[in-house]
Amino acid sequence: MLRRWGWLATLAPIGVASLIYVVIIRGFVAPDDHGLGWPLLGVLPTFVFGMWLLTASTSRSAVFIATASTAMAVSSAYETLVQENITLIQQPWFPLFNVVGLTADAVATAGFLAMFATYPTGVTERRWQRIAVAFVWVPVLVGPLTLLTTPHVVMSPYIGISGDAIPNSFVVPWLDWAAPAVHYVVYQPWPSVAVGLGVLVSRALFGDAEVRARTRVMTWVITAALGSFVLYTFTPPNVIVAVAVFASLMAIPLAAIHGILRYGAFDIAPGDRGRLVARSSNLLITVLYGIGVATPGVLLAETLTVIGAVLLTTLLAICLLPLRGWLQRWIHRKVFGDRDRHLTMLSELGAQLDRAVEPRDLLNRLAEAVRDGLDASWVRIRLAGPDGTLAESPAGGAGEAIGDPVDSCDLVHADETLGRIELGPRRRGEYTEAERNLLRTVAGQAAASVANVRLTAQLAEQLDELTASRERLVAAQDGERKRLERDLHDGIQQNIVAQIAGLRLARNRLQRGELAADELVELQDQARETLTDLRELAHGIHPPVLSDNGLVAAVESSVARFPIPLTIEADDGVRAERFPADVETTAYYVVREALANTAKHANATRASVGLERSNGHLRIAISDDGGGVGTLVPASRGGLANIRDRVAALRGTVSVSGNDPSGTTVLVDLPVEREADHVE
Amino acid sequence: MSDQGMLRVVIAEDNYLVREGVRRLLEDSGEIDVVAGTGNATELLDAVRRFSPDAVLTDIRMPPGHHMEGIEAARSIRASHPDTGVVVFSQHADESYALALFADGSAGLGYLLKDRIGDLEDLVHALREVRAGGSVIDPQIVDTLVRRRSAAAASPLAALSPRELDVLREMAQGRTNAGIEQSLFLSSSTVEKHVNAIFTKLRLPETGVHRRVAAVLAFLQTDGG
Repeated sequence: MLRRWGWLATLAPIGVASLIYVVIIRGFVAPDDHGLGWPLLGVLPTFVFGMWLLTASTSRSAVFIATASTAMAVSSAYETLVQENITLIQQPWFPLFNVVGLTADAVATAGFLAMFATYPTGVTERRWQRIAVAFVWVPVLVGPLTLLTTPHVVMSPYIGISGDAIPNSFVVPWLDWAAPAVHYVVYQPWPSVAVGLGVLVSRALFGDAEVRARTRVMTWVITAALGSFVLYTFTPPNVIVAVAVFASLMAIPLAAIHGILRYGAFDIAPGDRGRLVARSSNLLITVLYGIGVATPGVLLAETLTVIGAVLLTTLLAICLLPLRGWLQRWIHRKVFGDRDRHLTMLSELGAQLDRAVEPRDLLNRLAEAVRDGLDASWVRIRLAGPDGTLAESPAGGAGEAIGDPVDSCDLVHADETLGRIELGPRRRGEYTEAERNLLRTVAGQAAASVANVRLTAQLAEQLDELTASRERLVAAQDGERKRLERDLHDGIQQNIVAQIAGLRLARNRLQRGELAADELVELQDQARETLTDLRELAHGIHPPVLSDNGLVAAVESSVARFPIPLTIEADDGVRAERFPADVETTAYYVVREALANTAKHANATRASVGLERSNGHLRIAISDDGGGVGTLVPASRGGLANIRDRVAALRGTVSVSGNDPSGTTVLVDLPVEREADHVE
Repeated sequence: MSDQGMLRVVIAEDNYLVREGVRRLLEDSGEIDVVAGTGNATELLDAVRRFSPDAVLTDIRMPPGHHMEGIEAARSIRASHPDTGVVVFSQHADESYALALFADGSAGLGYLLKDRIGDLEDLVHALREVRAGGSVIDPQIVDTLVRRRSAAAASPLAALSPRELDVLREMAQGRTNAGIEQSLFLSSSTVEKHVNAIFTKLRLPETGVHRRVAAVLAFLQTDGG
């Protein structure tokens, strides 16, 4: 942090002073010799960008660019100084002074090469790349080395003055053997250019997918710039090549901005990106616009009259105005686009969730909103089961889920993990920290809705169970009615028909004087049997002893003819107590049904019924020592299901457990004191 | 319908007490010879094949299904043995059972409620009637049908006088004019007058005595339901 401000404080004054000097001299003092093209179009944008980058980035790349562009400014100033004061070269200390120019040139070249080679973070992935980047810096020593090894002054090739004729009094004679090596390895930029760009190209071509993606645009731009420079070097001066050179130079900051927006190049924190670029974008765009407008005028200043140049520049300024606006909007969209989209996503999410009626629909909408908002290739939502483990198949999603999620966030509501949102790779680029944070926010917001969804599903399940239970109760009731009808029609009614027939026969025989007393006895017995049947039938419908004498008495009287030894355990309190009618009926029915199960299925040798009253509940335990009812009767069918349904209708519970060492206990818990009692 | 000659009858009834009671009662009348007593429809059809009885008295509900086995058996007997009349002896006072029995025609078929067992003469009369190809239907069922038809809006029955309604009931039960004279204590000319009036008012087709039941039933059954 402090270091980059240190760099800024050092480099900015040097660069600004150099540029001001160059502009004053070339623009006003000696406007005829060299144009302002290079300092304004070549150096200034890069310098502005470099300085801006130092304020925004902590990466080494920022230092590379800032240093390189400052060195370009210094080099330009040195060039101007020497050209304007040509007598300097006669000074005895000139060779020493020339080291400044050489070093500035070399630092500019090496800085850029190092930045390119290590783009965009200033760090390379492989060891050989790091060694190669270190080599790129070797030409920086060109000044001192040539000073010591060559007998004449070595001038920067850009100045246009040959140093061959200028003696170098600082040469160390016994080092002259090294002069060719210094010339070819250090003075010539090509070896380090080849090495630096080689590193970049190797990363762009053979690096990891991520590295390739990050370096692609910059590699193209630099390749173009390099091509332009080659053309510039080997062709006679012409406007087209000059424009290409300046355009490719201006493209470098643009490519860097692209990298910043796209990949967080130069280690600019994602949160800072938008803010910093927004803060600086107007300045950047204005500089670029100014350069774009001024370029032709500056370049053609020699051919055109002053008026022509001014007219051309004005015309361009007007024509490029829409381009400037477009650029401004483009950057704004790039910078704020995400935030706008995020805000839209958040504001729409609520509406989306409100619109969803079906649970699955809601999850799908949520997934869709997240996918659109974060530009994800796919999003899926998995719900957690009751035990907290995530379901394998997603309960909702958007896009086809391929591969593993790159990020996920649990849906937590009231300390309970309801499920998880999983995010596929971003459609383009990677998720920023802000987007990942947004996912957390959305997950928090959606958890409540998901909780509702789950609650709804649970309710639906309970409703289904309730409906099924009601249907079973109705079916059981219908079955009971049928049984009653049959008992009446085929049993008692037939008995009476038989008795009528018997009576008619007796009447005939009486008329004939043949009637014997035992015939009437037979009829009388039949009538008595019918009465017994009728009484038992009525008892089966609702035993009068239940309404008259209470639950325990009814249970005891009903089991009088139970086929195996049976004990009824109930304390005096339970015996004396009269429960609400529905509780008594249900309890009586449940005991009968459970005992019928025991008699039918259990092969038991003894059974017992315990009735107990505690805390507003009636607890009934029906136990036997038989084979276990659970293994014989499916829980959803038969007598046990009837018991569950009837008990559930009174909000009671049923549990069935095995006894040790054998047998079954059915435990029934019926609430006795209910609010309904007071209402009724 | 001569009273001469014993009527050979097969009875079908799954309840033993009822079956034996009915057998003893019918035999006690001196007019009926119960040639076989069976407990279900299969046995009944067997017995009919073997004995070719004059008439069958069958329960409506029998094993194995305990539904309408008696009605099915009656219709199949009428199809295979046109000379055997069948009286279905039912515990159902619901007219739909009777109408199901008469669905394909009423000749040689009778539907009596078991309540009738005390009225031995009615029972014997019904057996003789179906043997002769006539129809018998329990007065209680007729009453239900008449009541229902009368309740319907704009029923032609409203045009009948109370006495004519009485005659209609008797007609529906399969009684001949002579039978109606006896049961309602009317002269033969009066009965004839009433019967004609009924046929005209209800726009019934003129038919022979045995078809009268079918016509009246068809009338009572339509629309009024």
